[in-house]
Amino acid sequence: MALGISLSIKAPTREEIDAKGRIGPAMLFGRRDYKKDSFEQQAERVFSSVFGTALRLTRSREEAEDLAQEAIVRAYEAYDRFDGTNFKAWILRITTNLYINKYRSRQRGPMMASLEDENVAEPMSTEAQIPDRQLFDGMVGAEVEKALKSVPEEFRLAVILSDVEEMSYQEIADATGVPIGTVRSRIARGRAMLRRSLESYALKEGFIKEGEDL
Amino acid sequence: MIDPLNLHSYLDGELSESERKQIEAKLETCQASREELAAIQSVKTVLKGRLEPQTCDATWAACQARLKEIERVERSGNFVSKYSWAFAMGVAAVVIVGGTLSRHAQQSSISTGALAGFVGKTNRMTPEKALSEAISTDVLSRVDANLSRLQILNGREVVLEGQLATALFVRDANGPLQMLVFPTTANFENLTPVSGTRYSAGETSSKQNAISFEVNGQSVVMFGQRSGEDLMRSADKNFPETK
Repeated sequence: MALGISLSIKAPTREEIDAKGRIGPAMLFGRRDYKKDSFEQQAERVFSSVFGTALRLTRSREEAEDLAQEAIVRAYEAYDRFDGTNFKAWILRITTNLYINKYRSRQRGPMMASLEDENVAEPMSTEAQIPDRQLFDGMVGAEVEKALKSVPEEFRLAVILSDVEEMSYQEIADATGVPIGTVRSRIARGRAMLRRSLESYALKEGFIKEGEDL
Repeated sequence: MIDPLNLHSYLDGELSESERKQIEAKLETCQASREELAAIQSVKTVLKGRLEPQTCDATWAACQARLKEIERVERSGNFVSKYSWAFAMGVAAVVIVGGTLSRHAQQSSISTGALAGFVGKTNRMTPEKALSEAISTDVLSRVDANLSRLQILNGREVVLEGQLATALFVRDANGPLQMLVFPTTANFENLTPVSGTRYSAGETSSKQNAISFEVNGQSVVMFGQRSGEDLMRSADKNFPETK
């Protein structure tokens, strides 16, 4: 007599992979055949983050294309070791590590910040020459991108991962290989640098005249 | 004024509940801290709100193509490594079956005379022509021999009236035995079925007792200086039937 036990194995559906990029049990018990499909589904959702981060790090479309592709391939090869928690943070960590280890040396110009003090951040509001409303209301994306490019790399990376990709300090620390205190400091200083860069860009481009009565 | 680092951490949701409450209490009474908080929030808002997603469809398509290629290579690699033995066996089977079928076309049964002619030859098998023990063991294991009971003394490939077989000279607890293992089922003249058993038994033309039986689609013939019943008992022990 049949025991009445049956096992079915199927690929995870999009619903089983929830909005946070977590994988459902079906994938954990899925066949190897489904590796590519399940990886591709998750990677497609976060690819704009991978590419955007690559572009903002390399500041070159051509290099960003190479970096993003290589990150995807490396992630696919390491997919068996993915712990199933946060796919986006995991793949951005691979992207960042790849950039630091391989692409950073290709970057032109002395963009590296020098000494860092982990526990100090100057207030940005007291330095501000232009009130926020005046500065930010007229800014468009391309101008923000341009200002971001002038921020030294370590600080730019920390700010992008925090404010654009909404990663936690711990996830950023894991991705960049620095202590969490350094991440905290870099984010604070990076935002202050960006603010100054936006101001100087606005003044240079004539959006706002220095000393203008605001 | 509140330490700006704490204000950044506050807005980033990186503080504990108690730390958050402390910050909120201080913000109530500190104008400079509130201004700093607003400045930080403005930068966060502009980064999140003004940066637009970069066009990357072509790059994603290139990624998909690379994944597809990697998967194809993985699959073919897995297939080759997983089924290479099956492929090799398949080729061997085609060769053996093909050869056997061509022989069957010429001959359908083996005479006991041929078997008799073979008896004695096994005793004279020279080491130079002998099969390795590994091959002899493999042949016996494919007919479910109880290898712990059999000592292989010698073995070689032979052709009997056009049929390929492996001749083995072995020893069990009752002494030496000779046997032939045919890769397919074969018919033997003058060996007749023994009712209630899996065996056919008879004599060779030289009055040697012989029995035959089938295991896994192969025919085994055993000879020896033993009675037919002894041969069948030996076969029971040396080739136990598994149901």
